[in-house]
Amino acid sequence: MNDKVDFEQLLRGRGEELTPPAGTWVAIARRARRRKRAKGLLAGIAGIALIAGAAPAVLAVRGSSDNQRLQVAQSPPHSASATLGDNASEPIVRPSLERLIPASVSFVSQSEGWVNGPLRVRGGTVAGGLARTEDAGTSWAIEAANPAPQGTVRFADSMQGLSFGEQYQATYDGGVVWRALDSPGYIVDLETSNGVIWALVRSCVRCEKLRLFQATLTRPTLVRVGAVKPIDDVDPAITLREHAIYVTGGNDMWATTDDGFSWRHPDNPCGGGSQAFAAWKETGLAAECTPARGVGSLFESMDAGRHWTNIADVPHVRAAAGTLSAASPDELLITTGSGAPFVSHHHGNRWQRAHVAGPVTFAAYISDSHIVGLTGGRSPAFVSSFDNGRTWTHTPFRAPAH
Amino acid sequence: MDIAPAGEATFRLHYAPLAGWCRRMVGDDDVAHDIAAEAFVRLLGRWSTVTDPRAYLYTTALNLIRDRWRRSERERVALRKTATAAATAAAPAPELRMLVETLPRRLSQVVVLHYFADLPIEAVARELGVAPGTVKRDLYDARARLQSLLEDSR
Repeated sequence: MNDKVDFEQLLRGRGEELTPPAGTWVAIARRARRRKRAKGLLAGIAGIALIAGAAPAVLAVRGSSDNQRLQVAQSPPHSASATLGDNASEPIVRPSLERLIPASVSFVSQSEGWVNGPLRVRGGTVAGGLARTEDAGTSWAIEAANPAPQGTVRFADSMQGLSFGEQYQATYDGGVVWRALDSPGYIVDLETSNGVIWALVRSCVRCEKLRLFQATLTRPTLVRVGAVKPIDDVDPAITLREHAIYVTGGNDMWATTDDGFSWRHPDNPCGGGSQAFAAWKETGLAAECTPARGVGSLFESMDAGRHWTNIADVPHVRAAAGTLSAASPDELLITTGSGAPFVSHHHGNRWQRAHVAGPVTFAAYISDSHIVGLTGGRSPAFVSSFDNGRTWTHTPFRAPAH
Repeated sequence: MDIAPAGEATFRLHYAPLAGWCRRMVGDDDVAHDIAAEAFVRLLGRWSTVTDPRAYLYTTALNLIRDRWRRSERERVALRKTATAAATAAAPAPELRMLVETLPRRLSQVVVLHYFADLPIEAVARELGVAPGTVKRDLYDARARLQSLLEDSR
C-alpha cells in the first residue's frame, strides 16, 4: 500500500518556509503586551506570566441621567488551561461564585448589574462565569448561561446584552442564552447607547489602527462607520454620554454629539501617550494623560473636546495610567495599574487614596455619587460606595449562607 | 517571569515553518503572516500553561484557518482572485484544504500535530489526552480517507 508515501509527501513539504518580515517579533510581542494590558490584573490572578507588567484597562462611564450604566473595558477572559487553541473543547465546569474571577462588570441601573469572567479550575481557568445582582451588589447569583459569554459583557437593559472580544455574542433574555454573531475582527471595545451598538475593531493581527463599527440592538451585524478614520491602537476606548460619543486612542480622537450623524476630529490632549477618558455630561470631558515617565496630567474640556485645559497633575498615577471616571468636574475617580484607587472631590487639585481592601481592578461611577468596582487578588470582591468614594462596602463573591 | 527571551527563541524556531504551512493552506502571504502572528500572540498570552508551544501554534493556526474559511466566504473568493493575480502568492494546496475541510476535527488535529508540528506519536497522544494506539489508528484512518479523496478527485 503506497498511500502513506503520497500522503507524507503531500503533508510534509519541507523547505516551504515563509520568512517573517522585519519587525514581526516586535509586533507580536507588542500585541501580546497590549492584550495583557487590557486584561489588567486578571492575568495576574490567573497566574499567567507575560512579558510586561500589568497595566489597567480604559474605562468609560456613560448613560442617561435616569439610566446610568457602567461599562468597563476589559479584554475577554481566556482559558488558561486550554492547550489546543481557542476552539478546542474546554473542560466542563459547574459555574459557582467561588470559582468566578470577575473581569468585567455592566450595570443598567443602580441596582441591576452583571459581572463575568473566567472560572477557576485545577491548573488554570476556563471561560464561562456570569453573575447577576438586583440589589446593587449586596448579593449575587450565578446565571446558568448557555453557552457562557466568552468575552466582556455589556448590557443595554435588563434583557439585552452583548459579549465581545475574540467572539461577538448577544443575549435577549438577560444572559441565559447567548447567540454567536459574525464579527469583522477582534472587538477591542464596545458600548451601547440609545439602541445603537458602537464597536472598535482590530480587523487584522498586524493592524496598527482600529476601525469604528456600528449596529443596532435589534440588528446587531456590525457595519463600518466610514466617517471615522481608523484610530491608533493605544489605549483605545469609546466613551458615551447621552447623545455624545467619543472615540479615542493614541493620537486620535473623534467626537459626535448627535448620536453619530456628524463627526469631528478634535485634538487628543494626550498626544499618543497612555490615556483614559471620562464624560460627566454630554460636552463635559476629563482626560487623564500619563507619559511613559513623569507625572500624569488631568485635562478638561467643557465643549466636547474642542478645547482642552490642563487643570491638574495626577502624581499618584505616575507611569501607571489608570481608569478615569467622573460624576462632575469636581468628583473624579482614578484607578491605577497597581490597583490603588484615588478620589478627588476638588476638581483634581487634591487626591486621596480610597480605602478599599484588595487591589481594585476597576471602579467607576454609575450615578452622581454611586461608585461600583471590583477587586482582584485571591479573594475577588465587588466593592461599592454611595458617597463619592469616602466609604466603601466590600462583598466577596460567595454563595449566601442558608 | 520575563518570557521574552524564550518567546523570541520559539519565534525564531517555529515562525517560518508555521507561516509557510499557513501559506500552503490559505494561498496568500499576508494572510499566512496574519494567522501565524496571531497564533504567536495567543501563545504568549498562555505561555505559562502551554506544555508544547509547537503543538499549540499549529493547532491554533489550524483553528484560525478553519474559522476564516467558515466565516468569510466573500473574503475567500477575493483571496482566490488575489492569489491568481499576485505573482508572489502561492496557490492554496487543494489537497491540504480538502484535508482540513473533509476530515473530522479529531483526525485533522492528529494529522496536523504529527505531520506539521512534527510531534511523535507519544507527544500527540499526550497533547490530546488519548492513548498512543488511538493516535496511530486515527492517522491510519486519516491516510485512508485522504487517499480515497485524492483518488476520487483525479
